[in-house]
Amino acid sequence: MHEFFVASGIMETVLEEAKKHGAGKVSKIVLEIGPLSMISVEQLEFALDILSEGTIACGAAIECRITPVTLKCENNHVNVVAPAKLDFFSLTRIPCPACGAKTRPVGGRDCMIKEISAE
Amino acid sequence: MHVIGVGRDVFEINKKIAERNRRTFDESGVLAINFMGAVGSGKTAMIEALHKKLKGCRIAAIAGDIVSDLDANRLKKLGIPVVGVNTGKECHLDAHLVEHALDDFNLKDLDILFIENVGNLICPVDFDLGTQLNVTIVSVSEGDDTVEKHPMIFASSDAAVINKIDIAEAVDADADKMRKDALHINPGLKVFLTSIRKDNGIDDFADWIRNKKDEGKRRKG
Repeated sequence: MHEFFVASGIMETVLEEAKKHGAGKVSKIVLEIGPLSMISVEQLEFALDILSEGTIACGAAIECRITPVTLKCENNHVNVVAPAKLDFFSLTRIPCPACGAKTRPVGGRDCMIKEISAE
Repeated sequence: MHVIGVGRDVFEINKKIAERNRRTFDESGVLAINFMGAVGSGKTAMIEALHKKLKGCRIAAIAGDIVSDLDANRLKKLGIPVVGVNTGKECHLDAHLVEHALDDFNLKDLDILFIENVGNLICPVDFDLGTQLNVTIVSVSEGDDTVEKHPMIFASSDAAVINKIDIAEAVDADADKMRKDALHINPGLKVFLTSIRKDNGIDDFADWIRNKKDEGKRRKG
């Protein structure tokens, strides 16, 4: 349960960016969440709702896009796995579809603030 | 209405501080180990047991806890430098808390720094502390499906310690299944089966740590 911690960081950045651009209201926050991060999207949205109260981001729509995971093999082939098809238990067991070599996940653990819509 | 591109990673600050911590450890010739694991898995007891085995090594510890200083006080009894870190409400240590705690150590006088994370198998995964090694301790009493249920922490670890194997039968747990699950998730993982009470497997774990420490010293030159 560190969504509140993550949400605080997001809100701080969002308000900072909005202020920098002279915005009076933030109507949308777009996030990109790596499926290998341990963030629960529902709890994150809940925390953002609470933290935005009384700020210019109050009531902003939150869009959380779950990014695919990229697997790279020993021969540098790239295999992109859709979030819905991820099996965390066997992630390191997926062979490269191009050459059959072992693969390892590259990235997929980030939590990016992609963009905000401001008025 | 206009769209403002932000493109900032929320974990970016933690990652930067973690890199700074890693440089500090490497430059000081200190092997820092992040001990992760659930409440009651045996993290504090393992640090106590390793202290006994790692004779001749200059050891210190950071004890992370939500509010108490119980673990820190326990480790202080070993006569080693200990800094207790209270995270308040947070369920994990982060790189910044560790960096802050480092001010209270004379790193040049240390060989190994044990960092006991807050009891949790989930949140610490997202927060690199900058330690050269990450170790997850899991006790058989947590159930032998615990490893399978928490793949990400084992995927992010260098070693897994399956602890309290002496009571496996009493709690109906298959320690070997836990070992296999850990290796399935992370084939590069080093796995130790241990019992602190019966002094089982601790020597192997301590030897592994000692070798890692010596490798680090050799690299530093």
